[in-house]
Amino acid sequence: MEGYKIMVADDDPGIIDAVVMMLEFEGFEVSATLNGAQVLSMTDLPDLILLDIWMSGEDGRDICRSLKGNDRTKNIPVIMFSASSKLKNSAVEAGADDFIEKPFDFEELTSRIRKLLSQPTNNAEN
Amino acid sequence: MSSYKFLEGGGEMGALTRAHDWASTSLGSPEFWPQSLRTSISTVLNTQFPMFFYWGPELICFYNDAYRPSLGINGKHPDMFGQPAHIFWAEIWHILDPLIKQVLSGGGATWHEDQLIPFYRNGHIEDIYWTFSYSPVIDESGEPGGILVACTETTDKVLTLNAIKQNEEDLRFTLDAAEMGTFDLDPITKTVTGNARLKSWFGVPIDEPLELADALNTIVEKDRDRVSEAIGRALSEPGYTYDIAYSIINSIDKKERKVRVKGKSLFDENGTCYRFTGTIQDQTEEIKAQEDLLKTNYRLAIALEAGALGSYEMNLLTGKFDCDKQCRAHFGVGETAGFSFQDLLATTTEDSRVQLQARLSEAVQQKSIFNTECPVKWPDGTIHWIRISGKPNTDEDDNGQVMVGITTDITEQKQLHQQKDDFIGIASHELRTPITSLKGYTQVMEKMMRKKGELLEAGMLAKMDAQINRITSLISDLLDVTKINSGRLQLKNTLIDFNQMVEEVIEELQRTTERHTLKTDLHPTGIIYADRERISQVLINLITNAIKYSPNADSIIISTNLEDNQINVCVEDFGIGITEENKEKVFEQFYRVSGDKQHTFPGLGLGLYISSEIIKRTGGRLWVNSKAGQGSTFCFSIPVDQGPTEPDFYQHT
Repeated sequence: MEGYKIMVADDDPGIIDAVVMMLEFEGFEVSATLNGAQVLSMTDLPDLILLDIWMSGEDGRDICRSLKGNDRTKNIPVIMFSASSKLKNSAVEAGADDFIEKPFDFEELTSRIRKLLSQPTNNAEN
Repeated sequence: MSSYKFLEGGGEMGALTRAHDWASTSLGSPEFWPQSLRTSISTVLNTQFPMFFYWGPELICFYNDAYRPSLGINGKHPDMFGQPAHIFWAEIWHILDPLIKQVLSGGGATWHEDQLIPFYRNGHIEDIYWTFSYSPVIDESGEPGGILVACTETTDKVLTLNAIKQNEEDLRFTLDAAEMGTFDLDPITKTVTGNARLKSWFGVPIDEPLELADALNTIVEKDRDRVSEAIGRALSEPGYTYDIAYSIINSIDKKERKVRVKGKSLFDENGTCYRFTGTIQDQTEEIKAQEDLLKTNYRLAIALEAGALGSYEMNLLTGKFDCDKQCRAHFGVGETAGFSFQDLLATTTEDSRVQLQARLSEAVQQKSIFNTECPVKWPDGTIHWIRISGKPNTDEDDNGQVMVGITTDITEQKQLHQQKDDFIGIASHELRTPITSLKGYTQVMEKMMRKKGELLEAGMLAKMDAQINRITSLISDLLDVTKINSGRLQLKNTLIDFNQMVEEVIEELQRTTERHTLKTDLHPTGIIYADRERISQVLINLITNAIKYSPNADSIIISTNLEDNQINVCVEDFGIGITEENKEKVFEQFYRVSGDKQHTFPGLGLGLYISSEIIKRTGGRLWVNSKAGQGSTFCFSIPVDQGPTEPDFYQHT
């Protein structure tokens, strides 16, 4: 999995720090932002996006919809996460490829990331 | 036929006597009759007093005009005239025969007063009372040759007397049953006679008279002058209605009675009262009951007002609905506006309406307490939560069943409840964020240590991670309870291999206990449509409880089977068990093992409550069989649903 670029968007620095550390430990190339909206204006596209749902002033689901509605970013797999499991359905509706509840197991997260990255549709254009 | 001087006169009976064919009877033709018979017949026929007469060995019967009415119509007269006595009086011969024998054998005359001699007249046997005397008539041989009967019928007198006696008895009975005292005042001697009850109330022995002066002294002082004046008027004013209530204090037992007295006075032609009589009723209990009732109603009214409770009554037969001021206020309705039960239903939502009616009919059928909560829209558009409760009752006039109850405004409680749920929701969300980081660091650190070969540190970090999982699960429980309480717990069903799920749960939990062996007894259950997460949660809860509450046992048995389209799961332990009275309580929110052991078992007391609610959502049930000190078996059954499959990326096995 080395070389895959993953972007993490969450308004909590503690989460960002821990998740970046976990993913880098696993050999991913990780970029992160505390401001969800920045995801939409990134120039260097990642191979997968981890997107929090409730961020200060931003709703991750709106961002996800924009990503999926844009030809440039629509094929990037998006995993949404939240501390509220009840948001899962709305995440799916917003176009998320997967959803994971906080707090999550390290193994759980990485296995889901690998699963999405190994799906041919997502890799076709990258 | 020749005429005889001794047979002259005598009206109808005289004529009958003269016309009778005596020659064919044992008496023979009158011309041969002895003087004694002739004299007697003449006397009988010509007296105005009712008389009957027997003569000769056969006791041939004669009677006069005065006696004739007593034979009535359709009876013995006239056919039996001149017949022997045992034929004439055939139906009562057993009564008369001894009398006659007594008289004829020289026993002298008899005397009978108001004796019942029932015989045939007016077409049937009648009860007839007589005052009569049988007296012997001596014939020429010097022996009794016949019997003269002087008699008067006293039936009317006897019946009247009996009726009066009966009336008196009835009156006594009525007075007794009504627990009334009676009095009879003699205005001349100023003494009162009365029944035993009156005497006992006024403290006088039953065989002693009650002096009016003593009676007045028994009356409490504040009433005395008023009563005295009323008695004075009753004794002097014809037509005065004596009807008065006062209190008396028995001079012996000091008991106070509140009595009501009604009387009537009788006056002679000179306008002088010669009798004053009436009844006394003890109303102590009645008055006390009325006062108590007033007090109770008063207290109830204050309580309703203080608690801002509305009250209502509805006749379930006629639908008549009464709702007091506060009750109307709860539904935003004014005091005077028409407000029927239909109007009430219209103030709430469709769902609440259905629920209200279902609960109402359930309460009526089972004669149980009715209780429901509904959002009510006031005319001004605001929403208020109202709780309606009540109890079905049979109304006093027996007009069928009524529902009587109260209404309460619980808007504030509902809001507080909502705030509490919201708070727990937010708090648990906020708690999860740092836990997510903490868990991340711990897990990465464990990996790093393991990589470096620092196995002791790695092991400690793994334990730390397990403790973080415990915190997470406690937070989840809190969140689940708020979901359940606000009705937001929803099941996400997918197709699952039930036994496989059970085995996975057991495998995971076996790692958490060194003491217990989790044994299985699994029968085929197949693949069903269910919420994997939630059903696992229930099973985990039951098994962790079994481990927790059987610290001294070494095995736990988990069994499954499929029966009547239901999956049954049981978890049996051999631990401390549950007492009979706590069996149902263990499924209540916040319930924990009670008594001295309470603090030795950790937990919030939410697990079984959550489990039971989850199982209820599946349409199944959760129950326990247990014996204190011997262990518990918790079981649940869920209906098998093979419903539609939905693609669900959350399913990961």
